[in-house]
Amino acid sequence: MEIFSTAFLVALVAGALRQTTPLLFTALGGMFNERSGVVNIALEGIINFGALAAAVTVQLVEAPYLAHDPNARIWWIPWLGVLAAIVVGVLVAWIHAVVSIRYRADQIVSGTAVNMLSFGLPSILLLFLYGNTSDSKDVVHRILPMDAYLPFLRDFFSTPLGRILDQSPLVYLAFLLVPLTYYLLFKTPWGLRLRSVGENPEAADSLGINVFWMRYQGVLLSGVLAGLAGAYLSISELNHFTRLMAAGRGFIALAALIFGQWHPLGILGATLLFGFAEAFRILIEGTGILPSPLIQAFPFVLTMLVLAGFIGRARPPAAIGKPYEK
Amino acid sequence: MKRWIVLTLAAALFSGLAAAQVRVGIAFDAGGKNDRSFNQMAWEGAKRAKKDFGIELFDFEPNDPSQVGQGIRAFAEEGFDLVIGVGFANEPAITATAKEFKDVRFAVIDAVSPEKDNVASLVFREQEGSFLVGYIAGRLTQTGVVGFIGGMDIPLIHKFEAGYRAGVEYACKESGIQCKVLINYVGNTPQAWNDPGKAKEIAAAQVAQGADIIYHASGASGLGLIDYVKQKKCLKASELPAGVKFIRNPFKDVPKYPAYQQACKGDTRPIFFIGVDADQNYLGDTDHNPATLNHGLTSMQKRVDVAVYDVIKSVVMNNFTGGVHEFSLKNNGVAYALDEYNKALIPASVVARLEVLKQKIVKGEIKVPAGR
Repeated sequence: MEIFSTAFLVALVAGALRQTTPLLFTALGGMFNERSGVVNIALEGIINFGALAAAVTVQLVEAPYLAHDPNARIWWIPWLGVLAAIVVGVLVAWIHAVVSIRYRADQIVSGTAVNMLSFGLPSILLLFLYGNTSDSKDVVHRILPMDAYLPFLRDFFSTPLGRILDQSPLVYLAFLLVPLTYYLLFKTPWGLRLRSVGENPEAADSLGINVFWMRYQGVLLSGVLAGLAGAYLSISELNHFTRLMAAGRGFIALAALIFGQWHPLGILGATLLFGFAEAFRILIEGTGILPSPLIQAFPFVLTMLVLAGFIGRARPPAAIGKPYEK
Repeated sequence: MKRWIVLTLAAALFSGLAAAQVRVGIAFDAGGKNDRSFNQMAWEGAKRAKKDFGIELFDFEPNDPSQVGQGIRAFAEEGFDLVIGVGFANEPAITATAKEFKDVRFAVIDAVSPEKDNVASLVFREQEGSFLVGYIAGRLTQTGVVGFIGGMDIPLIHKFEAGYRAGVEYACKESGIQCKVLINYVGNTPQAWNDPGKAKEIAAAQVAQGADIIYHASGASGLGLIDYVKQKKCLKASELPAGVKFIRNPFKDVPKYPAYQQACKGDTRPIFFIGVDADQNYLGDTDHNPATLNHGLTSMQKRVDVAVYDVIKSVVMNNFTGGVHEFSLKNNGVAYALDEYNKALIPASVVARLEVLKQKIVKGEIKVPAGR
């Protein structure tokens, strides 16, 4: 395929948007907890738990309906899965919050513990439910690309532009969250308080802000968003949960967060860069123009170049990673 | 009195048998025993042996790639009769443990251990089976573009890639058409076996480049390819990139299922995946009806189940031998899958030709490359 033909560009942009989505959700989530002064490397684990919750919920809820009528399609079941991913994401984030805010444990250790839990615990649940330790049954109800919801636009969705825009509603949600989180963080009193407890908790406390509560909110919000990333992976992009399906996306999102300077627009740029680099490497690798190990390294080399050359010194929130003691 | 003696003897014999029950431990690699592929095949072979020989069977699944190999030592310390490591990643642990526990017998799949006395190295000529499925792809491609998705970018998977490419090229030369094989790898870490999301993206990119048949050798990641093919169903003429057009229509007369007819009106062609290791054809079924179009064109079967069963049998029968055991087309260790799901897809003329090619490969008249 010729580079920069319409077909190439459509495949590149559509693929990049899909690959950006889970990173964008997660990195925006990470922004809330880091801005409040808590490091959350548990994001990878929360994605895994969110993906598990979404797939298992959908599968269990849909089973009786499908037993009754194999062609049953009930619109709310996939959204219930999304809700379950959010709830579980918040619960898991809450563990990290309690340990690192209330008990002032080392935040890296606590995050690592949550990640390790996400490698093992799902296996036990899957064994109990499905008799194997690695994946769930396939789900029938999933969040489909837009053309399934807007059948009257089907002709539009087969044009090149339509093929780019024919994405899961969750992809749209991820991108809509960028202006929304910007507004929340920089234009509301709540956002100012959240940032203040991450920069100078003593000063914030002296002004009557409840540092602990603000930090809890930051961490729990990251659980909401990383859980959404998990639901996107298991019931929108795919149709089942498979063990460790986050496959490093939580850590790439953390890199995008730093690289994006803890700012929604920066994060958007950083995650898009990762998404495009990966989509580009997949398209180029298939054509065999360059040796594949070289191409596989491309996204990472690009990241290092950008980090070294174009972005100045990363300046994290001043009080990040330090437990607050009254 | 005589009856008493017989009974006592029988009881002694039975208790003796129970004590001598063969204990087998099997350790999987990162994919886990339910990957609908490689590991699952091994597990099925082991379960069959358990049923036939009444062995005691224990298994170990690593929780993450760094744990691969941990179970092997535990099995050996327990004094098991046979310890099987499924996957090349288990080879270092097998070799190290075999040096230490000389009286325990080991088997490793997909790798050759330098220990020859008490380790059976079970390896496959995957390139031969891949050649045959590549030939099928080359004969039936409707665009002249086919794809390959490898899991981790390592020499073992290059065998699949090389055989497949050779088979496609052989078929295309025979048909007098120009073919292109798109090659992608999911990644270069063990995560590549468990990332169906990435494999799905690769499938989308290959189809966007005109591929209508995609072969995968990527373990559990391949489920992403299968999901993509079933969701997308067909290639439309309007979606083809410049320079690619429909060259034939071999699936014109295969009955289509209703959702396909609805989604693929006009000038379209169905798209297919080719499964790996296990017979994955059934995974391409969308409507629980094998008679209608199925998106699994065929599968390159690697009879890991047979290899595992045989090695357990050899321990039970007390004729275990170490060293390299090779499974190829010659001893049906690799094969292409033909069953109720794909018999309507592969014409009899192609099947007849495949048998001829198989003989040529076995006799060495066709040399299938084993690497890049």
